[in-house]
Amino acid sequence: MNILSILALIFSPAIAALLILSPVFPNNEIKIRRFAKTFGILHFIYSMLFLLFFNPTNFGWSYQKELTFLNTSWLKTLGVTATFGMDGISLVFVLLTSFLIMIALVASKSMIRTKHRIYYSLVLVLETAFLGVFCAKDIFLFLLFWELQLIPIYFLVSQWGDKTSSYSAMKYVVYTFVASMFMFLGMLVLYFYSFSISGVLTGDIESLSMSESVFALWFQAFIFFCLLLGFAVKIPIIPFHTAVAKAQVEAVTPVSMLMAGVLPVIGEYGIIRFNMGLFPEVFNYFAPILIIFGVVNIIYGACLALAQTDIKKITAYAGFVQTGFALIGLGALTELGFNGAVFQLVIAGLIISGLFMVTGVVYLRTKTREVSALGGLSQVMPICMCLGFIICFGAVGVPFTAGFIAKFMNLSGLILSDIEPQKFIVSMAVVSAIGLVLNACYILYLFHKTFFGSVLSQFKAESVQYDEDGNEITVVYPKRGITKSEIIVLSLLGIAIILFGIFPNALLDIFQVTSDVILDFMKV
Amino acid sequence: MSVIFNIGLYHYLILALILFCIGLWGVIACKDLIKVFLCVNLMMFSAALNYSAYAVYVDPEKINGVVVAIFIIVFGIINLVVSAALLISVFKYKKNLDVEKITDIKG
Amino acid sequence: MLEVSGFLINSSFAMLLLPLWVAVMIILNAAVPFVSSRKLTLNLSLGVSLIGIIFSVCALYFCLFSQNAAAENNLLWLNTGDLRVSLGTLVDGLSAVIMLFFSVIFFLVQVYSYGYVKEEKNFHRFFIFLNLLNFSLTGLILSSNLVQTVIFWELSGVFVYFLINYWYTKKSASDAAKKTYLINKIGDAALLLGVIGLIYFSVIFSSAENMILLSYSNLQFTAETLYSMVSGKTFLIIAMLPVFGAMTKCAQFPFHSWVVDATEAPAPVNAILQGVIPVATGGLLLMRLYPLFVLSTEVLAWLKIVGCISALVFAYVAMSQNNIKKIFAYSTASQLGLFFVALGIGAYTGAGYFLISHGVLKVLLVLTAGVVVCSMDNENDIKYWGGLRQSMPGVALIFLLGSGALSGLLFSGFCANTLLLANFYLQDNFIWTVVILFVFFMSAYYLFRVYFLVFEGEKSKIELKKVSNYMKCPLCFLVVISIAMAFCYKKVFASLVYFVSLEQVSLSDGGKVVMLFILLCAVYITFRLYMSPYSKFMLIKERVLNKENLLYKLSYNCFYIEEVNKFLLDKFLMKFCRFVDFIDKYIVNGVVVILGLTTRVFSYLVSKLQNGNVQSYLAYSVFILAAIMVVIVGIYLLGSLVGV
Repeated sequence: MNILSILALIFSPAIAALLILSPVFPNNEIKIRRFAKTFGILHFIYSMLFLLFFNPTNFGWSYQKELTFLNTSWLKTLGVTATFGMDGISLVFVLLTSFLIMIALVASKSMIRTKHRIYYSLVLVLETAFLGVFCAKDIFLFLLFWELQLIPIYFLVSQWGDKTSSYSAMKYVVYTFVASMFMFLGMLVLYFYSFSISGVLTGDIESLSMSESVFALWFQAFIFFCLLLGFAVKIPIIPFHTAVAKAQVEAVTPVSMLMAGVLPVIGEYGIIRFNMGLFPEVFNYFAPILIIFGVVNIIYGACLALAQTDIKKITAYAGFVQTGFALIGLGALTELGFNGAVFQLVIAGLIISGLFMVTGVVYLRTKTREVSALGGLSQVMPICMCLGFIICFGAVGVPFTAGFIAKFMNLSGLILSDIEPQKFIVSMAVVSAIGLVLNACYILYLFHKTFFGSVLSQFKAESVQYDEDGNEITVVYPKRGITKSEIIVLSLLGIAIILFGIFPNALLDIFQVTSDVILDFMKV
Repeated sequence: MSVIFNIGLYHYLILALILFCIGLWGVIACKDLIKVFLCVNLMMFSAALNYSAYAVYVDPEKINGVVVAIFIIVFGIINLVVSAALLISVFKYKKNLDVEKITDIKG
Repeated sequence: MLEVSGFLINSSFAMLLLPLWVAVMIILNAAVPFVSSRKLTLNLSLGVSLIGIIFSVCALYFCLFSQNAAAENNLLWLNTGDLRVSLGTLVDGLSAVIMLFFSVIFFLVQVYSYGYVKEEKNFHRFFIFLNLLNFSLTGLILSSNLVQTVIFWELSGVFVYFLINYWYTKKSASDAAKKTYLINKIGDAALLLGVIGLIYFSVIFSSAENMILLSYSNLQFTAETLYSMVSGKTFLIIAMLPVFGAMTKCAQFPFHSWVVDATEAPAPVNAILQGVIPVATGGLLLMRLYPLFVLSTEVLAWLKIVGCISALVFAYVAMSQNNIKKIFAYSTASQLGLFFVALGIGAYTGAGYFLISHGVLKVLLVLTAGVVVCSMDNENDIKYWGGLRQSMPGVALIFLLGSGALSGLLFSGFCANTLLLANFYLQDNFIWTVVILFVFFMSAYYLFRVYFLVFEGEKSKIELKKVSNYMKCPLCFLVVISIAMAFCYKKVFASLVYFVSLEQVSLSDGGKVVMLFILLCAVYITFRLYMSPYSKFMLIKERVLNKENLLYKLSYNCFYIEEVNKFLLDKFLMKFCRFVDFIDKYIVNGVVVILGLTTRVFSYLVSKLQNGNVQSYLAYSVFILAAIMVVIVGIYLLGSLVGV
């Protein structure tokens, strides 16, 4: 298909962003917003076309294409090319990203009040960075897009967030950047040492594989952990989570949705592509560590969430728990666990951005995030509650929502794992099952504190409030406490969660062959 | 005594070194900007002296060293002219030429 | 007839999806503002229940008279890796019986609900969730494999949550809903783990491609293979985990508190929770997995112990409660304890019959109590009631019959109790026989205590409200069902629900007389205590039944289990979470902050060097250059000294 150009898919958001920024574009809030929204929808439809023409039984990369400048490769002398391609896993994640960006653009309508032009162009640039990471076939290209994310994220968090958000944005960027320096180091070592063996300078991911490498295991493990550190901060894996949590909490809602929805996926995609794809031997050796990280994410994240009183913090920690389940699936090294992990990542993206949307809607109306100051909102915003409950039970993992399938697959993938000793696997499974219960605890705690009980007087639709200067202001809720765009966002997410819960194979079949390939490679 | 009065390459080099050190000391320690620039020129000319000494004693056939020395002299004159212009404008702006008071690039 | 039922059974997927469709229709009905009619909602729900009844009668007929005892339909649902999960329906004796029980009870409860929530603002929501619950429980009862059971098991928990949360503006109701869901979530997680363990072994041991994963029709074989392959300890763990799941749904000892708190829910929901849910979820699961349990004596012993503790403790607790709903909740826990003991002792058929009989009678009693509470303007405390027989004789009669039946004097309750007793007695289990008789005694005591306090004695001053006939009619039907059940044990039930290796027994007439005598004793004592001021009994009443007595306090406060739970939660779990939060804030985050701070301090020190004085910069660079030169020259000299 000539119409399906992967370059157009990746770079069109950046071009759209330039268009918005260009002085030709009318400086009109509504026009900018409508343009961005329309672009988001069209882009999602375009990426759906890629799914339509994708051959799921194809073993290698599809839609492969190289970006050339004046008929020469990018950094030709270094063997680095700007080649893009997609396999099943990339495609699934590209779809997720495109979907979440569309959702975030729609959600921005009620959340963003200032600097529209820069905001929408930054979000679109961020989309290009996300898509580039998923489609890059070359490590340096991967790295380029990986670092490119930091710039829009920094401005998006610092400019539209809370009062202290510029501090947390800086913290996030520095923290992530330090970690990705280790990743860069690992990649450079990989690149030069593979040159020293093969004599060919190349940055192509597949040809860098260390599956039959002559290097000692400890040396491979060094590169492995350098790379893992970079990915761990992005996901985040628990001891490296503080900066991420803070940035997610203090960012404005659509940005939180994107950060919590796409960044873990990017991190784990890195683990799948690099740590699994390049170091099968080392990965086999260190897989139990990944399981332990996953379980720690689940239990520690759940405990943290239970101790919080800030609804957005609870949501952020809920995201860590969700990614924890994906980590144990990855570490299990079974086909079931691997598929479950990819599935869980997609679903966690939907669920957590949905939870952030719900808390964001509540925060926008009530101007408070403290649990103790909330309550009884079910009477003021019933539709938000109804749609929120779909997402809530998706997060809890109720059957016929996608959350259940994902958790079920990950847990059974873990049990089916061949990792010795058996006792370790069983105890990890038991602990993560306890995590399932804790997970339900804090999510229900969040929803009950926010929506149930008697309605507090300041949230009644007719109540009169006073601002800081003592002037009377009437809090005006939109009809039924929610605007149309918010309803669309929440219901789209809810529909996706239920749809994949009823027809899990619709999603699983896209990447099953790719995951077979990766796991076969692991067994060698 | 003959070591002292038989003028050779080393004498020129030592003289250049002494001149250079005086110049360096002046650049680092002087408070007056004019003195600083004079000392900069002193350092440059000590280098020129070095070049011409080598040119005479080491390789008399070629004149490369002398060319560089002449180049340095020309450059030094240009330097003086430009710095004089700069100094005048700095003085107009700051009303003095004390190095320790001109610390606008303090971190 | 057989053909018709065969056709119906083959279209059982439609049966499964019908309630879901009705729920959607009710949502549409509720959404359209002017057309929405409450009658339409009711008729749709009743229609689907009626079809359910027809279906289950056909299924029963099919199972009784057809050659092949079971009919199965399956659909591959989730296919990834080694996992091939099917959704399907299995119609055999057990599921046909429970399906019949369920659909009949559900029909009556829906009629009752119409009367109960007729005036409510959120009428439609109630019926939407009733239908969704109907969907999930139908899926559970007809489920063909264990994975499907897990799926619908958790799903039913969610809809139960929404039904308890019906009055969500009331804090106690929403808290009860949360508690119910979370306690059941523990059981869900245990069951999920157990099933995943079973999946592990069935994937490893069976290589057949087309086999349904953990199919019930194949469970006997799976269990025996498993038993022969794995160590006793592993087998025990895998078999115990589903028992924990059943314990939460059946409100057994440590997990009972949800059923007590859930009395905040509307009366029909309460009836479903106490009568239908234990049968369709926990009870059914235990009976389905019985081939697994019989292989291990430890599991059976555990069933006995848990059941015995629950039966004794909650019967004892129920004796002193004053809230009528709580009495029934504790009674449920206690009676289901008897069911557990019966399964543990090996009385498979008897336990099943007891379970279903208890379900019918408990629904009857809770609904009757609901009628009374409604007419008394939501006053739950039986101390303020009394003498209601004059104003509502019909309800009093039904309640009397219901208590008599549940305590084992009449109808199906009598049959069920004799069956249990026979099983205990004939297996030479003297201690168990005494225990069970003691529980029967206590049950009769608390049930008749309620009757005497509510319907007899002095008339209370509370003004009665009129109760709609929708709420009263189902009660009569329930009594009729209980009577009918008493006659169909041998011919229908015992030939459908049986376990191959266990024989079925019945009690001799002498045993029946002993049992009746003990129960009548209990009724007499209650009568004396609460009805007639006979001096000796009054003395006992004053001695034992006063607030200071330790035995009474233990019973009234349910052995302080709730307080202990609360203490554990507050002091341990929340403390632990706060501790983790503390570590996160100050240690994990602290490391990051300290790293950042060190960098900043260092850069502050370095920035001091940059004082704006060009001369000092020059001095630094000269110094550093000199140092580098010294080092280079030094290395050169050293090299020349060593002679490289």
